[in-house]
Amino acid sequence: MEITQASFYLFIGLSCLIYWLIQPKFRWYVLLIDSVVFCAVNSHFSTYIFVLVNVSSVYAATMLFGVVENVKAKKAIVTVTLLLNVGILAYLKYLNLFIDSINYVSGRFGGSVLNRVSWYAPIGLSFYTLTLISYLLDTYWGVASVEKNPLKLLLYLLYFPLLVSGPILRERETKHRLFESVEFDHKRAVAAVRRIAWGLLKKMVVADRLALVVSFMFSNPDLYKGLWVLIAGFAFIIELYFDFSGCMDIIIGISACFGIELPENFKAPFLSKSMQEFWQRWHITLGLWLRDYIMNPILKSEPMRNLAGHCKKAFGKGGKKIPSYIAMFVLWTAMGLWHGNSWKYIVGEGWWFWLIIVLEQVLEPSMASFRKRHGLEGRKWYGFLRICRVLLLYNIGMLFFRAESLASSFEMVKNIFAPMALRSPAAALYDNLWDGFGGLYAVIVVLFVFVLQILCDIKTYKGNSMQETVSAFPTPIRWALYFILMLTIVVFGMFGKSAFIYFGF
Amino acid sequence: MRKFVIKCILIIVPIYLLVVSLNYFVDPANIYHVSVTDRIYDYLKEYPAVEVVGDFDEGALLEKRIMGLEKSPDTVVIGSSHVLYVAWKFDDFFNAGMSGEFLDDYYATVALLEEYDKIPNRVILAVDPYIFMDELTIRQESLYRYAQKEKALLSGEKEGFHLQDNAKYKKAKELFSFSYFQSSLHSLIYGVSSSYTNPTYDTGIGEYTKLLQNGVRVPASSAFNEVGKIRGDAEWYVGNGTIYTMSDYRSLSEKKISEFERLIDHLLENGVDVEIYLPSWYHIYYDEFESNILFSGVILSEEYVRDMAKVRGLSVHGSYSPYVTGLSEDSFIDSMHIAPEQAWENYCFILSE
Repeated sequence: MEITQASFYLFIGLSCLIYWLIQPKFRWYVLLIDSVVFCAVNSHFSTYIFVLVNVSSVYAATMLFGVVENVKAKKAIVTVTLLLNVGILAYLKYLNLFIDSINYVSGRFGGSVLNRVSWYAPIGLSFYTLTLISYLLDTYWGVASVEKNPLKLLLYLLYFPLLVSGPILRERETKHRLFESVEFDHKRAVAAVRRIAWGLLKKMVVADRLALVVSFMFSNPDLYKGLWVLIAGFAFIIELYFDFSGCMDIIIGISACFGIELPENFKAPFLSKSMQEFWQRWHITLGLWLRDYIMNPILKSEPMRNLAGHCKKAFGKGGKKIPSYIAMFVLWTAMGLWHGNSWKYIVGEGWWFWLIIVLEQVLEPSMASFRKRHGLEGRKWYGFLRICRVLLLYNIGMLFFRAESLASSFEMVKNIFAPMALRSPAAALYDNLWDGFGGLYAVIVVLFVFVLQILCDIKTYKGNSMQETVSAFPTPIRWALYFILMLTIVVFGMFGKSAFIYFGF
Repeated sequence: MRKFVIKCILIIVPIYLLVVSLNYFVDPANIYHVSVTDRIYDYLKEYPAVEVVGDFDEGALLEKRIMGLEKSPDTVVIGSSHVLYVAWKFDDFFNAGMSGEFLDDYYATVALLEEYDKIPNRVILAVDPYIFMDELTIRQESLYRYAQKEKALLSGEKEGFHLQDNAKYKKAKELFSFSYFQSSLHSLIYGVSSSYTNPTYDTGIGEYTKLLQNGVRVPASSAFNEVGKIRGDAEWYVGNGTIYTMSDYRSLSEKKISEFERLIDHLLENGVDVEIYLPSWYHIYYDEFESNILFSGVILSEEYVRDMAKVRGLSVHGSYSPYVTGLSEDSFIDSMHIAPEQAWENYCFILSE
């Protein structure tokens, strides 16, 4: 059951009707049943055991926190539970990375080759494992309360909209929302449906069409060299943005249909003026999770505090930041690992961005004085240049994400500097993709949606909302827009083409 | 809440009304209007081949054709479009090929031959490698019930256990399909591409000719694409990692193998001679099959088919490898199919043996 299928919306519509018609205290049962059904339909039955182990181990651990007084025993409980759950994630998702690495090393010495493994993983494994760790640690640290009802915990971990592609919940801010008794709000419901439709438009009309272009360009590296590599990368980041943010629009909209507000995952990332700002606006919930549960605990640890002291003594004021760079390195390695079981993710999605952000932080004092000296602060053209710089650097990182392997990623980066042809690559795109893309009308529609998204992002960047703007339109115009939106999806949407890029993480 | 539900209905219902009516009335694949199938059938009664540009229900046509046979043919060939290019110039030869057949389509064809009492003396099974993929079941939805009936019979299940007619449900579902709506809209704007012409014998050039949509009459056996274009297409598919229905095909499904063997054994038990034909794939594809582990299922399929045939004493003609069959790139009309004259040659050879 994919969230772009009509049958899914029939399922949501019926669930919503039941949800709002029954007494508020029973509503969460509807969500629980929906979540179990969604999980069961989308996961192989052999994976149910992992879900059960995940949920029951965390439930048992948190219940023990209330009984066990001894600090060391509590620490042992949380360590064992963490190892078990991270172990399941590693086993199901990262074993092949380990095998590949062993094979690479042993191959260098003429050693034997291990076979890669292939098995099923539960839907949303990476997402719900992070949610689960968040709950475990927050209850251990005492910043969140223990959930005594195992079914409520099950719902919190498997809340079905989140299983598709997040956002990743942190216990301290979200859990209660699932069980709050709220009244049906007409405005909220209309806004939710509008958001779902907008998400579908972004995914099915723009992202899936751009996917054809991206796929063609990336599978013909001999043809697309020089600037073409960056154009291919740019097409990919636009595809990814429309795919992932479209997915988030749908998920947040679906959740809002049940009166449950989810945290935003994107806030106009492509208008960021630094890489650090970019990652505060792109996949926000993952960034916050990694900060709260990986970087901050490392920084607060005894050895790191000691190191900070030593570094300050040795290198002066600037040396104080060295531990935070080390913690960030761990964070970005985890970021890379989270994206997939390949070194290309660790290098491209992790270490590359770590390097850029560290450089930004190191150079920021000099850059700030440079800006001040030349009066560049607040200049629009300079801001635009900074945005372009971020896009270019992000583009390079994402070449690793999209390439087949680490080796081909480096090959692509090398190809940026290779001599390029102009006409034949463009002609190949036209000959092979024009019809498949949908011709001139489709190009016009895609460009129009792209421009609309830029306008939405500018509003978001300024702290406003497009939803409010649309709500303020006179009724006939609003309805005309609804029909145009729906018809555009029906006429130009690519049905049954592909799943979301982050689906199955 | 009532206001919200009414609003949703007011938006969804008109859009679905538009979708359903366009799907039904334009109906580019002729799902709800069988006239095209009837007309093609009438042509095929008189002429050896027909060019059909538009889409239509091939399953319904096959049923009609088998139903209309006066007697059992001597030889029936079953397979995908890899066999469709064999012109029907043979006496007592019946081409039961349908586009992109999966294993259940083979079952359905045998079921139809039994249903209408037209079991031949010899069946040539053109075996494509993807029929051993687990996830592929039936291509021709309208023959679903026949496939299920035959499978139930051969596996010893109760007859009629699977006899639900899935085709009606699928037809109803298609009415609400947005992708079908897009095809309908395309047909409405750019014209329905269901024109077809029967090839006529041209004494001037000494072979059958057919009329293309642009009004040009060409030899019926002429190649449609040049080698450069075919090569480009093949490279594109390889680059995208999907060759026809195959993208990650590393092992053969045990279930499909046992179903395939059950069908062959059933034919043999009923006194039918079974021969196997392995249609060759275009060179670029075959190179990929050999070198990329993701397509190793193709190589395994050929090995398996040869072993299976050896055990049963069946003849195996052809090979997935164009190098083994000695085909050049010129022998293909597109990246998926050998040219009709080459198919003709292959079948003359098989039938003469």
